[in-house]
Amino acid sequence: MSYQECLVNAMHITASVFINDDEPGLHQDFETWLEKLAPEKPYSQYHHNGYEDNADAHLKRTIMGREVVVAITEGKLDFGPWEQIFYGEFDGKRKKRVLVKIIGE
Amino acid sequence: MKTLTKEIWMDIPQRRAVVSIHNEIERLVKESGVKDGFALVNAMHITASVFINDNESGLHHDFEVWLEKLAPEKPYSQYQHNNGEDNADAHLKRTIMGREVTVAITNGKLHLGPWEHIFYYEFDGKRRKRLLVKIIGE
Repeated sequence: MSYQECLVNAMHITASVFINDDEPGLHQDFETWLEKLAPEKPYSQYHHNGYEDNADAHLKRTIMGREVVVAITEGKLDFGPWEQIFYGEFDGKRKKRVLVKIIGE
Repeated sequence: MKTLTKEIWMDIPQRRAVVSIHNEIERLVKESGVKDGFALVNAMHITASVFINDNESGLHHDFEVWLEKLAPEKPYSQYQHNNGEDNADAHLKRTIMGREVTVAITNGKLHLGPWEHIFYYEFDGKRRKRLLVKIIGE
């Protein structure tokens, strides 16, 4: 029986890879919730925002997570019924990368 | 398949601190001889975190202020867990920051983006605690 694991991670520290529901209402709820927990503005509330304005993006990404590790069983992602993999961008308008690494027998 | 398993002891003299463990993890990847694989790094205690973010002291200050707002340490009596203990906030803070990271190893090196840096975050220090590093691959 073959077995592998698949790592998917944001390579940038202001973005997330996460697993949740593919439902636009929930995605809007994430937006609202993250903005409440780690507001973007005023920029001056964060020490990190000396030359930058993305401190909130570092915090939002922390809540949503950097990576997922998913089992691959007999050649397929071994998901629960509603699991879907998403990329969450919190400081876009530029090219950024996601790493996918699959290892196993 | 090659593997390397290592426990790293931490001894933080104050309650909370962010400590870089990046160089030590890089060193262990080299020691493992793994060219292609995964490195799992996790706190072995449930009041500490391993996370990846910016190596920038302003942001670390922002994390402190933010976590204290989301899960205040005091008053201790606000938490049911604080019955004989005083570290309920540390369990909550660690939940936000996460337990572990899994990092890809490619060509014998940590396969990271431009600013990714690995840290240990202590939320209930003043005692010896451990991290686990497990490296597997070819």
